[in-house]
Amino acid sequence: MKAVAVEDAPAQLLPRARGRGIGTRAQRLPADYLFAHSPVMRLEAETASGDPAEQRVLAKLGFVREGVKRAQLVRSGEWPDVVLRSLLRTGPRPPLGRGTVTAARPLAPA
Amino acid sequence: MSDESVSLRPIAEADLSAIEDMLDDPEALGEFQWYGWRDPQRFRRRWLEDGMLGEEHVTLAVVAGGGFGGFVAANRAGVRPSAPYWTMGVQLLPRARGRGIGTRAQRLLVDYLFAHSPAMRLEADTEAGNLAEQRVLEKLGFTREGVQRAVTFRAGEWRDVVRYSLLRTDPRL
Repeated sequence: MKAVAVEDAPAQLLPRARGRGIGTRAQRLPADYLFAHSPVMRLEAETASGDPAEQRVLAKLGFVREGVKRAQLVRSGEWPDVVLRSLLRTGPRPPLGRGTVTAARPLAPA
Repeated sequence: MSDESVSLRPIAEADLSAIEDMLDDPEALGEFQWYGWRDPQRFRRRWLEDGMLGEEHVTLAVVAGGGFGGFVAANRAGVRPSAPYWTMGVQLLPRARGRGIGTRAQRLLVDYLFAHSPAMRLEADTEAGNLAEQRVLEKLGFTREGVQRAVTFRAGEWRDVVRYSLLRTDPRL
């Protein structure tokens, strides 16, 4: 069994929320949530290899780099490489940093 | 490697009982393919439905030395519908193993998939302990992309899997 984070955008912040470490803390929450509420052994995250910021976020969360998948999708007319990472239930999960992101909840209706 | 000819063709009704016998028999499936008993009719139902030649799944019989020797299969995958690719594999009957038939059958499947679909990427994976299949894939020109940890559960443990790919633009060996 595996759970796959949403395509190559496991988190998507509004522009006003970017650049303050919110993504790191916000992505820690779904990892904790999924391991708490399902018996899943493994979480996967795939990122464009040209996105070092997201690579750093995932590494900080304890996601281990497993390899590079070639030509899995087309973007801007090219076949970019995608870095595959995973976090196992049995793997170390670094502590959640201090910050303003303290909870996740279902999306509210507009 | 022997001189016997290897070819692919659609699955025939007469192949189904050989497939079902193998899938029911842990010994026949071999060390890395036994995941417990499953619905024994599933192959027959798919064969009746579309000859196992659907848009999403393709299964072809491997003919070796004139007889049915097992099958190769490909499933459509993709992170976006705009760029589908295939994951592929082979399952030979015990009597067809150990003579290079799996290598040749998978080479034929590679050529078939690139000839009849615009896919850019073919993917194959095998358990980290299955060194024989890793050698076969490398012999066909597949690139080892990485090891996915704890991705499949077999015989009481989570197992690592080696992921390989072959691109349309890669040299085919």
